[in-house]
Amino acid sequence: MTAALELGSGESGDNLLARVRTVLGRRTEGRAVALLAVVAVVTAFLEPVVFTSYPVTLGRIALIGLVALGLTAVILMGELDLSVASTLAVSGVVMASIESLPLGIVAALLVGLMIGAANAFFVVAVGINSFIATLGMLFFLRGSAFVLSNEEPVRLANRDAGIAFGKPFLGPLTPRMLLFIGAFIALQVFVTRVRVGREFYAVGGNREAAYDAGIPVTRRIVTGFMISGFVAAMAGVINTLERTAADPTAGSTVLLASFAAAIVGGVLLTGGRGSIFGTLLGATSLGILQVALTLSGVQVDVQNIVIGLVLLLAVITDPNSVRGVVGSVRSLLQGRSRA
Amino acid sequence: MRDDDHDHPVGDGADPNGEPIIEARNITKSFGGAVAVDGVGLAVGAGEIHGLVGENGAGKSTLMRVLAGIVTPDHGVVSIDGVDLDAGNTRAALDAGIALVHQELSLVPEMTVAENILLGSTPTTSGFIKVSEQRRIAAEALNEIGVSVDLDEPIVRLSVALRQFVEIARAVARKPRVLILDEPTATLTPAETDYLLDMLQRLADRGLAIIYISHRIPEIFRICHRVTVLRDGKLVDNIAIADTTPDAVVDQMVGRELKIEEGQRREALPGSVVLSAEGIEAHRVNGIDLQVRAGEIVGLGGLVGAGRTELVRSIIGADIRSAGDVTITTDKGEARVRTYRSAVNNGLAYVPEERRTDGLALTMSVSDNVALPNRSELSRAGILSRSKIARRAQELAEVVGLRPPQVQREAGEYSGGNQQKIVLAKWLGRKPAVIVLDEPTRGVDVGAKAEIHRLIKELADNGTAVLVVSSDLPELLELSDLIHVVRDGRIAGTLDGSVADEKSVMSLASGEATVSGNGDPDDLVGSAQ
Amino acid sequence: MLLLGAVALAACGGDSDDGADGSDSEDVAGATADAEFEVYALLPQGNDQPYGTTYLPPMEAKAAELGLNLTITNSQYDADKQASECEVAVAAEPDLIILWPAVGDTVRPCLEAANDAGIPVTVTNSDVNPEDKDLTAAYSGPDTYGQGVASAEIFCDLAAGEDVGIIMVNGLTGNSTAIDREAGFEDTVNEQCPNVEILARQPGNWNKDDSQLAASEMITAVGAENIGGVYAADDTMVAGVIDALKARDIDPADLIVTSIGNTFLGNPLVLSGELDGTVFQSSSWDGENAATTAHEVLTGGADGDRVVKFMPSVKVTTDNAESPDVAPEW
Repeated sequence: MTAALELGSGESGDNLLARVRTVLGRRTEGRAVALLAVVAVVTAFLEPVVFTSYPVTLGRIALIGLVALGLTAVILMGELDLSVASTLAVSGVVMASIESLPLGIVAALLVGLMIGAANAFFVVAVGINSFIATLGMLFFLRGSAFVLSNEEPVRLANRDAGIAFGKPFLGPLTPRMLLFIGAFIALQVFVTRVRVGREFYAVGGNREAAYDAGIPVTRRIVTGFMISGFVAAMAGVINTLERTAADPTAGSTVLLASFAAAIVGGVLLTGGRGSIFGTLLGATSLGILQVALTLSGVQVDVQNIVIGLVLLLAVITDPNSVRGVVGSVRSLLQGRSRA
Repeated sequence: MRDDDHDHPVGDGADPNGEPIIEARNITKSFGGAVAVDGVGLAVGAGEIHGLVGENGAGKSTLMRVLAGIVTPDHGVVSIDGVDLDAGNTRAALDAGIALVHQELSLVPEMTVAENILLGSTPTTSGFIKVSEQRRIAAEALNEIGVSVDLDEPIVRLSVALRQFVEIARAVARKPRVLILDEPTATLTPAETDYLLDMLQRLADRGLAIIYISHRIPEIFRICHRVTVLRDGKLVDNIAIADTTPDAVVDQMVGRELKIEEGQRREALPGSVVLSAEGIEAHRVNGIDLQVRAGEIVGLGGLVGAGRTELVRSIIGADIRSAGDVTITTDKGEARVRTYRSAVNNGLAYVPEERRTDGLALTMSVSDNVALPNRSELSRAGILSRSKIARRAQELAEVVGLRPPQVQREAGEYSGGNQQKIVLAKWLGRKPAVIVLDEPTRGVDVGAKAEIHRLIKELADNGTAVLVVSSDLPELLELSDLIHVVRDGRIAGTLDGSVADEKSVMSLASGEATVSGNGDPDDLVGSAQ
Repeated sequence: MLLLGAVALAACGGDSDDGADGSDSEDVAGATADAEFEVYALLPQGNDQPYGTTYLPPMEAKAAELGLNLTITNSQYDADKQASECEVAVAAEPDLIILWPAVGDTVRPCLEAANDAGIPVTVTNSDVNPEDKDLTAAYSGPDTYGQGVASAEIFCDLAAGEDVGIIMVNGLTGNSTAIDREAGFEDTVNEQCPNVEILARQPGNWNKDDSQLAASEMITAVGAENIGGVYAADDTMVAGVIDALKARDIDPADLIVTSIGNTFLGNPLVLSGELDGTVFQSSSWDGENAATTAHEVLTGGADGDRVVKFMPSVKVTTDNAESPDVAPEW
């Protein structure tokens, strides 16, 4: 009786190849993997140092990727958080301004959580579009960082602790990399295995449906922004420790790099699609690329051109766009030949 | 699967022996002065399938949303087993066992089937999802409705029909006592519809109270025990199916004598070829040729997902084609069309399937919407003439029968059927050489449907070449002079509209009468070109 | 197809530039000396700023002449980025690293990492903090204190023993260049012409608008009639002060006005008489000496002591403003 209707459930087949295809077809990271492979292969030929001194590359990936991981939580819900870089700067300044190191770290992380909560408040309670709310927060926090720091770098009271923090801790891995890996695992598990995190996809993919299903959408958004704020503050703490001072202008390149990592990783800016793993792949591609370009001594402007091309490549290799481009090129050529 | 396998003939009235499970008394709800539901009551017992019919805007959806606790009524109460529910409390309604299957699909595209079925009630241990239990419950629910689908498949990868069934499985997984379905068959093929209706009967046999909303009167008469008719927010009738007839119900719905011109075909006098497409290849379109003549209505039949929408979109240049040529020939000459813009400039009009997103600017007024494609005609020295637009829009609104014909109102304020009329009005103003319509009457009530059919026929009679995609077989048969049946992105067969019937279209669409090997389909009028 | 094209394009973009940079230096190098040393230069600016634009070519030319194979980075004043570039540089194991600190307080870990790897570091343009100096082999660049001194000397000459009340516009609070120039100016005035009295001082944050506002406030505070002169810590800010004076109908030519820089903005002001004197900061000297100092350290000419090469603080007044020796560079 139940077999009466074959509704055609995708192309799930019996043989292994078909199963692999089905599993791969469900993933959103395909393009990020392909891009990473291309970047890695090209780099391996041109600048093998990128891989022989892998701790440096890992350090760069952690620098780019940490903030992006937290940001992804917000983007999955279809919201934006433009205040991450300023959060990084403010939390660093707060941390360095406090004499006691542990107290400073705790205060900085609390500041991150509070900023996340404030962002969420404006978005869900006041009802401001998250782009605008966090843009406002971006300026407010950047200004605060300057005021709090008296417009100059704030030196850490305990510089030796900071310098020690920048040294390898476990094998070649520095605490920054370990924290990055930890944050990745925690967030990956959170959005795939934990109900609250998994529901981020529902909030971003079909918010109406999420409301109807009784998911506390508001609470989820608050959680997402607080994750983003916390992770950005964590990055601020790590940077301040490693540099032994908090610079109020810190993180000027973080915002765009984080968004780039998420986009290259296949995270849809309108929400509902993407993964933490994708963002990791995106950050890895960009990290390898940046280190390779730095090693080649390529001008920073040219580096930006290359990164821009990679971003565009990541976006236009969406299967639909590729088909569109191929089709229009072909019809253009046909039109020419006939005219 | 069916434990209580006793016979259950349709329409024998299962309810009368027991108290109703769900009862709504004297529900009134108005939105900003407009009364959507006016003092309506409804009671449904265990094992009963209760039909709810009415034209678009009659208040069916609002009433259902009140029952499901999504909307708080101005007056009235909803009770389950005689216990009044907290008004406007979705959670309370859910907990009391009321499950609503929405008209607009409310699934999360990137989440899996299992996750969607348990969305909002995911089983957890200390916050972590219990994956095995999630899968077990989802599998049970799918099993209960007799649908087999991979639990790990994300919704985006499912067909429209499967999504509808997952939606129902989700309602069933909550072990509801009352199941409300709002137009569940609007996107389904006849075979899928059959399956769904049988499934609902099985669920009712197990003691569920089911409220079934549909525009399709035959479906109501096939499975419902009673039917409630609403018009303009008021209850018109609540009657056992055995005591009424389809004609009577339709009359009650529209409140006026309406002849459904079923099977009433017009005399087609096709002229020269206007739209010609050759060797079209695009996403899900694998090499299709077709022609539409002036004054001719060509129908595209086939199952949902066969590639019809993709075909028409690539023909008109809205989607990229990877190969093929399209020409539009008018008295101004022959033009090769590559982009949508050039198609429109050469006299093509397109009414998309998703009119909400593609066809209308919902926050603009009706008259502005109508003016969109007619800008050059309605402007003087590049400046739009307000009065001209308003006058023209008013004329057109009356031609298409917009109700109420107030062209300064926002398009979004109108019901689905009326929105479709606005889209038609928008293009009628241009007197197009070719009009392409994709599912022109989906989700439209019978009254509006008849008017839309009349408009389409009028367009053809005035010499427009019409290409129409429809999953509604009677509609396709009634309108088309020629029917191309599309399957897997190819034309599986072509039928003369005057001799085609539902069976011949469906057998081509489902692949029963494929062109196997090099053989021709035997009993078809035309064969694949 | 498209993917391949774009990748090829991206790769070419990287390659060709790499190639262009390399071939430039190699061509020049081939004429004089073979490339003997690998050197990383971690700069916070490049062709994106006027100073950097005129700093880089002399540096590259000199490096090629001396056989230094330069790899240049630009952190755009982002301390994190420069720290990461420093890690990359250390990993590449060059013979020497030239560092222009983006943020002075944050370079210590980089210096330690280079030290641990046995890579000498020379500093250019802005010196590191005093406690970090022992981790570096050399400094070349402006003598920021000396520039303040030179500006004060011009002032004292013009004041010629008379009592003059002045207002002072300084750089960004806390910035080491700002602190050094202010100290150099003030110390010299106290020593050489105590008749000159500093009536008020405010930061102008290295930009014209802030400086104009600060000057305007000070003029109001001390009274226009009491002001006989102005010192601003750079040419950009002095232009702001001059605008503020004009707005109050005070002719700057009647006052003694000095600053530091001799830029494309400052030099014409000297010629017009509105600015009485400025101190030449030569970006080409700076760039060229970054390379020569690095070469000196590499070839062991320094035997252990920290090399310090100060840019001469050349005074520019109406007398010599048109001389090609002090033609503005940025």
